Amino acid sequence: MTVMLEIKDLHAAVNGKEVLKGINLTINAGEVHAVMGPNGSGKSTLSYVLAGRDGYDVTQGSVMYKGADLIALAPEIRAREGIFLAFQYPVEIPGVAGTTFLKTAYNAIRKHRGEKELDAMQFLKLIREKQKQLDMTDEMVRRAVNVGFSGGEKKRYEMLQMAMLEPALAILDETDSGLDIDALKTVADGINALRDPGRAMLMITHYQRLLDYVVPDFVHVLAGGKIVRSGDKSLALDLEKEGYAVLGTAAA
Amino acid sequence: MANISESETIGAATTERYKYGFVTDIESDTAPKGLDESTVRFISAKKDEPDWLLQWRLKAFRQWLDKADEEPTWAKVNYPKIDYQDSYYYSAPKQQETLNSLDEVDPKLLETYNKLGIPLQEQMMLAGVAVDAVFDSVSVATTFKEELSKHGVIFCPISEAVQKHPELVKKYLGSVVPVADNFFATLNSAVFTDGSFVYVPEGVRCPMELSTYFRINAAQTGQFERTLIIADKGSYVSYLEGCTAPMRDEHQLHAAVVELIALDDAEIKYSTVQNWYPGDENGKGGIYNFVTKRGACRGRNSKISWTQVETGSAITWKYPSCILQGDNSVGEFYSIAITNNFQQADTGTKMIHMGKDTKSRIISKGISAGHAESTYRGLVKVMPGATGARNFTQCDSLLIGEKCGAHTVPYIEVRNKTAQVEHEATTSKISDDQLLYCRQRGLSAEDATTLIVNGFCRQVLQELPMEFAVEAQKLVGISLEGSVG
Amino acid sequence: MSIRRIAADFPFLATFDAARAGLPGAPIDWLQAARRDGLVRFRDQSLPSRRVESWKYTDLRDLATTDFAAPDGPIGAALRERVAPIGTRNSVRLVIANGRIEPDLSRLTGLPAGVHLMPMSVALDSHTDLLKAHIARVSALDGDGLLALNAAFMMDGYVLVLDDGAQVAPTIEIVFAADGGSGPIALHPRNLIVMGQGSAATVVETHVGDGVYWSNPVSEIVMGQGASLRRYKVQQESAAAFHLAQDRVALASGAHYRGFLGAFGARLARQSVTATINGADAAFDVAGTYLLRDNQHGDITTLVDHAAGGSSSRQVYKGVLDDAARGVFQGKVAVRRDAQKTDAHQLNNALLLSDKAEIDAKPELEIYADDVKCSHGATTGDLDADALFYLQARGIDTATARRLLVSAFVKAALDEIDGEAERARFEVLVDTWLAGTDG
Repeated sequence: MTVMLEIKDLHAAVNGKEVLKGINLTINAGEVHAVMGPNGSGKSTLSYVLAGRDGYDVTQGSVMYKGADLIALAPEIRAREGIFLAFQYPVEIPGVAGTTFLKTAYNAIRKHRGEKELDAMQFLKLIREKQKQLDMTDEMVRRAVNVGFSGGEKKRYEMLQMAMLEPALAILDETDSGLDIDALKTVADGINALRDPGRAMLMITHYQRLLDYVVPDFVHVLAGGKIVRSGDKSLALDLEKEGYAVLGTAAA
Repeated sequence: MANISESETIGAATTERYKYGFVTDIESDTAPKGLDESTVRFISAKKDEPDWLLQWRLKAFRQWLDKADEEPTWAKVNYPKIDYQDSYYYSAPKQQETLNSLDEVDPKLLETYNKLGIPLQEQMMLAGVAVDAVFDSVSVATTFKEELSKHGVIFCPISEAVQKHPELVKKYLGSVVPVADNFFATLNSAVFTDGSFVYVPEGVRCPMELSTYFRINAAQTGQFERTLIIADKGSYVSYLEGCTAPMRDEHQLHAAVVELIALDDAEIKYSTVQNWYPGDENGKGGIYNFVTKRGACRGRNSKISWTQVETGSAITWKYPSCILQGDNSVGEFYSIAITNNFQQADTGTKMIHMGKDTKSRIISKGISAGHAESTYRGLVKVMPGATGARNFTQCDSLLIGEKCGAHTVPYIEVRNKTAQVEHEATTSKISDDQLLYCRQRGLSAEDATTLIVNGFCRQVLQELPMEFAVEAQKLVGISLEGSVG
Repeated sequence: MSIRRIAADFPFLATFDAARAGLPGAPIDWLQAARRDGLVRFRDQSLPSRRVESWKYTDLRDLATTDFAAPDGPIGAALRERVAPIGTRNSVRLVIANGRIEPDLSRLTGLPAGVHLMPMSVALDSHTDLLKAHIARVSALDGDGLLALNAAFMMDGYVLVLDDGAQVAPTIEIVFAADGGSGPIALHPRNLIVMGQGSAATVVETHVGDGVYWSNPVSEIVMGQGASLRRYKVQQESAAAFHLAQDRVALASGAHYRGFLGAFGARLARQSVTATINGADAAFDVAGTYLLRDNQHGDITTLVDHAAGGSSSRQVYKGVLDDAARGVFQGKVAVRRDAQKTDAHQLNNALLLSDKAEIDAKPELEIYADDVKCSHGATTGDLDADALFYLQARGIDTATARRLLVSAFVKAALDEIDGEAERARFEVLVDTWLAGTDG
């Protein structure tokens, strides 16, 4: 089995305040992991540290991605190497057409891999196929990036980007938040369609409802900046029943 | 509306600093250095002008001498005092007097324009775009003249119009920008050399884009172009100008005057891609671009629309304006001003509402990087008779880096109660969130910045004619080069 | 003679030597020197002409040609009667009439410990060092002839000093009354508020008068760390008066200034405010309304200088202009190089009710820091025709409908007032003004 991501004793600080306090997590290719935890447990910090956001500083420990040090890489290099973060709050970029944005990203990644860039026609053909699966119209895809999108549309647009960019490691940060049940199913179908023996996924979520549709191989509970419990999908159901309170002192 | 994709520009913004900085080695005919009455007479004689125009110039020159203390100081730009005697006011490449065809143009000039991406040979011309090529003080070639004349459209150097259409020149020259208007306009009136003249007759929709390409080549030479465009009743014309100059350590003055006249139901669309040499990254050299541009919507339902992409020049001082005299006339100003390194730009517009139900719209996007200073300065004035006047103004400024400045100075003067004037302005930087989002999708910080800035400018870019929108987008990227990181 | 100044040779200038004997601090040498210095500067600067950019829209030529004398004696009985009931609800009250404190109408007792309120003439003795420093600071400012003239002729204004941590529970009521009934007079009140760390106060200033006079008040407000000031101003000068007021406010970190101006009076008025924000987490919030008719000219000019990062400012003004009135709003927000994370917002909305009314607005941003959020907006227009029609369709007559809409427009500014009693007071003033419009 190929190790995709190996996090060892990861400590990270945001604005000088330590939020992650020793995370250990190994994700192999083909696996889907879910990280659950209460608000403030460090879930989003973990996703930003992996994506390389400024101001999220690793103070101790290591993160190896495909066997190489991840932390030293610029955010765009991580992306080109196959890390995709589906943002909890996708950012609006006024005036920049979604297709232009995605084509630029797509070709930057292809170029990095030494592949030929697609021209406008080839790209349009490709995106049309993918957008159909996510029930998105041409008009939505052409609109300025995330501008005027509802919460659900933004999440579907993230899934479309993921489908296009075909990452090796997808990090889905609260992808289920703000979705009604129909949108949740659409998004979950999008995720499941991308499950692949060569691809790993890390789902970060507060609630277990997404896990009804995208069934994880492993579930981890993050509390107080540490993984306090790990198990299979039944752990998520236990949490649903008992709540994070059962974690007791570990969360403090 | 131009439908273009920004991604084509990504990557163009890499190593092409200022690719127009070359000098053409060509023999030229030059006026003696300095400025006095004899310089004015020299220029007028060179162009074999009628006496009325010489007298007009001389009157302007005397007024300019009286204005010695009136060089504008209110703009937010700084430059050492200009020595007006330390410059040449006329420089023309030597070539035969009258050209029978474009093939007779000096090959060095043709090659220059090829290098600038403006082929003048018939077989290579841009389809659908007629070009007047102005090199230093003279027009060296005008394309598609015959094709245009079939429609009755006059498109020629203004020096030629003085000879062939004196009645039109006499009637309209100085009628929008009076000789005494301001220091630089008065100077231009005295020493203007060449520029374009356009007349579109009643009811004619000009069949192609008209464009003038201004090139400063000679050293220590000022360029004083004069452009006059008249759109007669019910006509339409779209005109575009481009400008470049060699890289030189000295500053060179470009003081143009552009006058537009739109009669009843006529429309003029005037676009500028200004890419004069901006100086180097330490602020050495570059063009002083001190320009007076004004359009008069004289007729009912007339429309004048200014679109400008200002990326070049060491200093830009420019306020393309509209005088909305005709009832129901429309004025528009769409502007992108990008300043980097030590560039300074003080630019904006004036919308003077005089007629009833006149409308104006101002969209200004200012981007400052490096040590640059960018100012939007604008006036919206509603006169008592302008019942039902409407204005909407939006000025957004973007700062890239912490050593630059961005300023907004709007003047709003309303003397009619039925007028509705709305002004909005914002100043911000590119958000960290936007940058991270783009970089997380694989874009470099520089490409992400170019993409976001192009998005910021979209409302203006989409007003440009298709042929030039792509070039303008590339310029956005090139102009910001070195500002990120 | 420069075109940037208007020559002004007021009769009261000639009697400077005689006048200053009767002004506060006559025996104090340093003050006399400051007065002489002010006069020299005024002789040099005179009054700014419209060629001076910040005076582009306000013309002082009528002021310059009025023969103002120094005030001579108390205010008349009729005015006194009008002043008597103003703000009596508030227990602390200082009335200054024709440049002098009116002890009978004032009540300075009952202030909590650490709070000192007095007229300038008293403060010169009791808080000499504070006053000396204040006058030196104001003299060193880069000001115009109006500031210089105030320095030469400064008269009783109020001095409010709050020690560290001092909190004033009662609202402090200040009334300025001017009587130009027996010939034009010029008044140059000087006010000073010095607030210690964490102190808090609420001040209401009312300006009233009769006849032709010129009020030229200068106020300096120095706010210590975390100080909080609510300052409300009612400008109800006589219809023949000139009111040219300048405020200079300095805020230390965490200080919060909340100002509100109701400008109703004077033939020509200008309220200029310059605020310098010197510390993080400081907030400067000003709002106001100017309601003008006949030939009134009202000018609001603000400069908010964000000299330190992490601070905020907010400005909201609403103006209504009827008849041949002219409103001017010039608002500038400056953000200096290091003032990152500044959040500044400014808004001016004007409503023109007449064909002869005019509004001139110049909202300005001067930004030298990149990580900022700054915005301004300005609108002018008539009442919304759809809203008007809607009201009419419900059976409301045109005049009433117009009044309702104008009132709604102005009251959006009153929403900026933080304080029930003060809001109610301004509401009455606005309603009174509106009752005088014919819709």
